[in-house]
Amino acid sequence: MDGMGAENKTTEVYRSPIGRNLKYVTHLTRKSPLTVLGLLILFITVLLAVISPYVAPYPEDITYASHLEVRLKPPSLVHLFGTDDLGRDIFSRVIYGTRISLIIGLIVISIALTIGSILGAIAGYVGGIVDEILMRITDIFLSVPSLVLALSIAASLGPSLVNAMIAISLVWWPWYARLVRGQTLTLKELDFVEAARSLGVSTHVILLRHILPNCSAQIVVQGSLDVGYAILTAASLGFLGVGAQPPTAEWGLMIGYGRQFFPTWWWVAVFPGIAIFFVVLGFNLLGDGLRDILDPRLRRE
Amino acid sequence: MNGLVEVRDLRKYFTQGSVFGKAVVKAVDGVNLTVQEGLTLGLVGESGCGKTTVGRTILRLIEPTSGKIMFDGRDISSADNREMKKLRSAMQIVFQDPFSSLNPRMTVEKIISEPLTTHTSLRGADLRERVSHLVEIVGLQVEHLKRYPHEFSGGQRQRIAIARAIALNPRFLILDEPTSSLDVSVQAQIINLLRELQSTYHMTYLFISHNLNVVHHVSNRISVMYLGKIVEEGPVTGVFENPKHPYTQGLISAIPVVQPRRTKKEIMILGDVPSPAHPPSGCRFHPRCPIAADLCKEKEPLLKEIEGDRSAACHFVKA
Amino acid sequence: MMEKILEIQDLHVHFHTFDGVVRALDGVDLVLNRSEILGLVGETGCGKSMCALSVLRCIPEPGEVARGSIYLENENLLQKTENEMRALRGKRISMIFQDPTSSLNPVFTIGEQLLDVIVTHQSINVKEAHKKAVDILRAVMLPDPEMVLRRYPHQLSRGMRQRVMIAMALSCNPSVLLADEPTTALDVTVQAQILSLITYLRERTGASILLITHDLGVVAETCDRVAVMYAGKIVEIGDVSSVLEKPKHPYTIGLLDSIPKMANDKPSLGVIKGFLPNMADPPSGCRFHPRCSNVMEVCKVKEPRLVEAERNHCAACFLHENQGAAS
Repeated sequence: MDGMGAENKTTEVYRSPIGRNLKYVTHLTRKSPLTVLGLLILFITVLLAVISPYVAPYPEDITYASHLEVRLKPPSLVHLFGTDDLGRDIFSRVIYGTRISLIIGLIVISIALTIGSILGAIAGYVGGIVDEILMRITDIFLSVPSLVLALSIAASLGPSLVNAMIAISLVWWPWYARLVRGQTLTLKELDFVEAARSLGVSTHVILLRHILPNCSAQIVVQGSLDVGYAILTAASLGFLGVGAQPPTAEWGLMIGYGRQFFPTWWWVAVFPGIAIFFVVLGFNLLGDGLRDILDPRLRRE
Repeated sequence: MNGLVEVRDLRKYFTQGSVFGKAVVKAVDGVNLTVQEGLTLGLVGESGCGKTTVGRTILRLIEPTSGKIMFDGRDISSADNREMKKLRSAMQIVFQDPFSSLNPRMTVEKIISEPLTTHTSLRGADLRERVSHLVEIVGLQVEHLKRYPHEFSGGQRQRIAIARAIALNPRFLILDEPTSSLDVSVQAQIINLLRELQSTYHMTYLFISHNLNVVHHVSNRISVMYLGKIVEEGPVTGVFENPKHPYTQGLISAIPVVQPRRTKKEIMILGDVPSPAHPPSGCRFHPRCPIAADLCKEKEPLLKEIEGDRSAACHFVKA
Repeated sequence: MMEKILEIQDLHVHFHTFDGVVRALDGVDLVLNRSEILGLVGETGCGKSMCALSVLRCIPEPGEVARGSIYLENENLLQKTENEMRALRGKRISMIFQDPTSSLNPVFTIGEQLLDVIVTHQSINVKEAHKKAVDILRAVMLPDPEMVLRRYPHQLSRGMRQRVMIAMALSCNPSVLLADEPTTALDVTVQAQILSLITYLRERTGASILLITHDLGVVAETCDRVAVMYAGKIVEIGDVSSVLEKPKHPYTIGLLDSIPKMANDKPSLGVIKGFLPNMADPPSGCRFHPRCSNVMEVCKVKEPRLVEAERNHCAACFLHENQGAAS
């Protein structure tokens, strides 16, 4: 077996990928301060979401409460963002809103991603009439502007946060289906998929083990960008009255509700709006940063 | 002569086309092969000759258009999925490109376990033991099991691919240009490994390659393909020392050899390898053949036996 | 008397990558004489392509020449401005690449691309340039040059595209032709044609050719002299017959042993143990020492220089240091 033990000790030649990738990530991040900003914003958002009941100065104001003696007070040291017409502290409600918005965004995108990826992978791999049918269905969904479609679905299901989330998931999955289908078409030609077929691996296992895991990079980028937009869409539905219902401290709802107090008592609508702005910005910057990191063309190998 | 694998009149036609017209590409057009058990058949040819398609069709990774494929005496050309799955453990393949033949998201352990989990009931500690054993057989180490393919060099990845292919103790292994992407020194290691495995596990090889030096080194018999057909076949030494078909002669003459003082017949084949979508009439080689005559343009020569265990498809080769 | 056309002296090319400084070329000395074909062989990553790119001053980012000089007919190319280099490329030095498909622009006809080269470097009118183009296509054995000029690259076969590339490279009669794996992507029968063409063109034009390849067979049949590279350095250089029949450096010996020969007995192929070094962190002393079966203590600490081991044949190995004077 001369020469057999020769290909030994690869540790000398190839370094640990985790260490190297981490270093690479920090290097890239330093080159792109906007990504760092995005990460920071999101970190704060997530943190607030987790600890909101503890940092909100007036936790009882998060749902229904009534302190009419302090209604519509402007921002002050006692009420950082002012109070609304029921005397509820807007700062507490905005903070608690991070939890609601993040949950909405993550759940919606997770559902849409799962459904879309599975259907897209099946369509791409199996091809033929299954693919045709799926493509026509996604065509139908994609031909209508997403907000309009979500609005109609939510309205017909009845105004509630859960229905809004269902509506948005239904509107979103076709994008992922298309994305994953495209990736699947490329992947299924690669040798390792053929190797799996030559080993007699069944189709559903090939999809789960070989196709879907290799689509994840693009999905992660797209998904993280989309969480921001999902939050925005949910807020839009809430604003229009078909999403979250009072007394939930959802930002969109708060803006919609706060319209009637604009411009005299501007703080009721503006602060939730600023919150939405920052969170969506954070996700956007993160998504862009992730795309840069994962884009092989930008890597210096 | 009955071999472990026999292929009779195998054809694979691809239809390429659009609204503007369809073309039939006869990638494999009537190929006969016999691979004797325990031995290696080398399948050589240049680009577009169809040798890779032959390999994939034998394993039914591509469905043949027509023809018979026999494995161990049984006709498997129309076996259904369930039967094929059972046969998969006996017939395996190693691909050319070590960079795309391993799933980048799976660890080496998972990659090599896959055939075992698909076909056997080995799990847990038993599975791990078998996988560790396989990894060592191919010259890697147990520490490598937890790593991902991108952490390895081309030669090492090819070893992983080989470990995966032999996991189920196949009787027949198709090697589709296994060393063409590797550096010369690494190629030598892989060839040595393949030969050792063959003798240890008594495997039968179909070795597909365009590199004649390598094919000569590993094969017992050789079949030469040109544009979807076999033009010559026989024992490797005989064919190399005394090629009968003009294409084989030109091919062997064209190989650059290191021993520069060897005098060899200078037979230059002119022209380019034609596209399989538009094969020439009659003998497919006639436009480039130094001895082509009118007969060659009209009539296609059949593969006929000459000297016992050799055959050639040329009007001017005497039986 | 051999006249030096191209001389590379102590060339160091460094890449400032994320993993550290990669010394792609680490002190390369090379001489290309007039009208000779010099083979440059080595495996992946040894730096052979980088040598050619350095001569043309086309080193990709993030690489740069750290030290050394490159003389073309006694002019130091590393001291020229970019404009001067641009005037040189295609006219006095040309390069042909491995993949003819990606080296030709798919949206222009062959004629447009070939005329572009000719007109850029020679002040002649279009009609004359066209005539020259036809002549050069004929010189590379393309049948029906007029038709070829009208075609697009994808309409030609790979062999024909490579001939077109060679035509473009030789259209202005350069003194030096750098050929980077010109036949690696071609079928064996087409490769034979192209190699024969290159040899013929050398006779006809007197160009000096640096033929980069990993195939020692190609070197044996085409080259006059050969240089073997390993890990950014030249480890052996000399007349082809001497180097291939009596190799002196253990790496060259190992490389030749690992090529399957068409012999009747088929022993195991010779194997060079170990693996290619990490160029960001190469071994100390002789780069080859971890893999060498003749390794001595000195090899681990000192780097060997090229010394004459036989007439017109040098090797960088301490095994031969005593026998000859420094080259």
